[in-house]
Amino acid sequence: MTTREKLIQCFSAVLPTLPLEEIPDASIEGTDPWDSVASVTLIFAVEEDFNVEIEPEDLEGLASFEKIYRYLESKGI
Amino acid sequence: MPLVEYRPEHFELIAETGKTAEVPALLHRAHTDYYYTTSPHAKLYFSTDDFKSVKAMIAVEKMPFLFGETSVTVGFGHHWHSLQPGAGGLLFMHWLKSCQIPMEFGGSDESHAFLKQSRWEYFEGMHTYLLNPRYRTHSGDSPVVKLAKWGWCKAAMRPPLHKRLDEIRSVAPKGLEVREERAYTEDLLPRTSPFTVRFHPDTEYLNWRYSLNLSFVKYRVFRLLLSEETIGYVILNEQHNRIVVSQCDATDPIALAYGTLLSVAEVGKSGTQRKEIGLVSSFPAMQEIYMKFGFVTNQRLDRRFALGLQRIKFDMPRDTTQWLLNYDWGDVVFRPPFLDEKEV
Repeated sequence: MTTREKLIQCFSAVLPTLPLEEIPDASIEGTDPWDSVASVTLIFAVEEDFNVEIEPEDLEGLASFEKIYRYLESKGI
Repeated sequence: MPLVEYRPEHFELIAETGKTAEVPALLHRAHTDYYYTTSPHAKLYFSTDDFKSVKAMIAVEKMPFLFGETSVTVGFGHHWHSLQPGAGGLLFMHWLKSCQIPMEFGGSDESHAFLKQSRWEYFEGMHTYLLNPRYRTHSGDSPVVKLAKWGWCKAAMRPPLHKRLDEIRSVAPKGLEVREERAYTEDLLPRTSPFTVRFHPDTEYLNWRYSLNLSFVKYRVFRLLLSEETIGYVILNEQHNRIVVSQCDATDPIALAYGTLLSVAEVGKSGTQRKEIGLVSSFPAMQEIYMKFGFVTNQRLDRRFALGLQRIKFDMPRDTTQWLLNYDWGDVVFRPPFLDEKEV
């Protein structure tokens, strides 16, 4: 499974009402079910699923699927 | 969604946000600039795209604690507001990740609903005590509730502590004295402690957080001496119509409780008005002493206490009857009217 597929799976588990095809375009600002609780759950899920510790200063950049994907790429995942 | 650390040039924006989010303390410039920009211990963060509006904000005071023998940075979170759905979550994560143990002491129903979903652990047994409580009503109180509150305050009225000095001294440990100091010095800090969990600031932290030279809040510090040997300190916050036992610590809990009463009595001597005295305790022997001298408590006064313990890797002492809790942590007393404002 590629990192992108695994991240889609992770999003799907945290935001189950979001259709799969909409996940790659999901962002805090434009995605209804992505509220504060989902933000927290999502960060924990990404850390657990990808075995990565996200630093506090990196959090602000993680406001969309694409940005989280690029963050994981930058970590060599 | 850029995350910005508050600096004085952001005051107008943050004051505007304070109005929207109903956080009046943020409208007070001296407090906001001092608390969030003059030390590494407390910071206010907000997210904004254009510096015209704030999407979310959070403030965290990083407090050094001892849990047993383990030094821990506790993050006291406050002013957590999300003005755009989802934006608060990232700031919440920032809080969690900027310290070893995040703490909420007080807080709104909304934030506690969130903490419960995030599986924070709640602790019981820490009570707020008041001596000579002021009569306070809220706009929604019915006449019956107002009458009940008035009756409770009236029944709880006691002579001020400075008029009971002989009584306090007759039951306090022999040789216990208090002496007001003009500065925080190393020798005030207890080197041993009977408490399993306690706030453990150094003098640099005390000099900043409980500075004796602020315009908007007045702190006074008292040295506790037992047979002429220093055993700890008591910091009081003297306000328009109340005195808060802000922070105290000592090598002996009984001497600390009586030393607190003696310190409050010293401050009371200089005033004409009977002030409300407020403190917090979870230590039964200390609670008993406070109640013996007329302090009262009820559930409505208590603040909820929760810790985010998901990531700790040590056995923490969980019995709160052995902890040393204090009233004035985080932003708790930084509420209007500040000392340089008119009383309302």
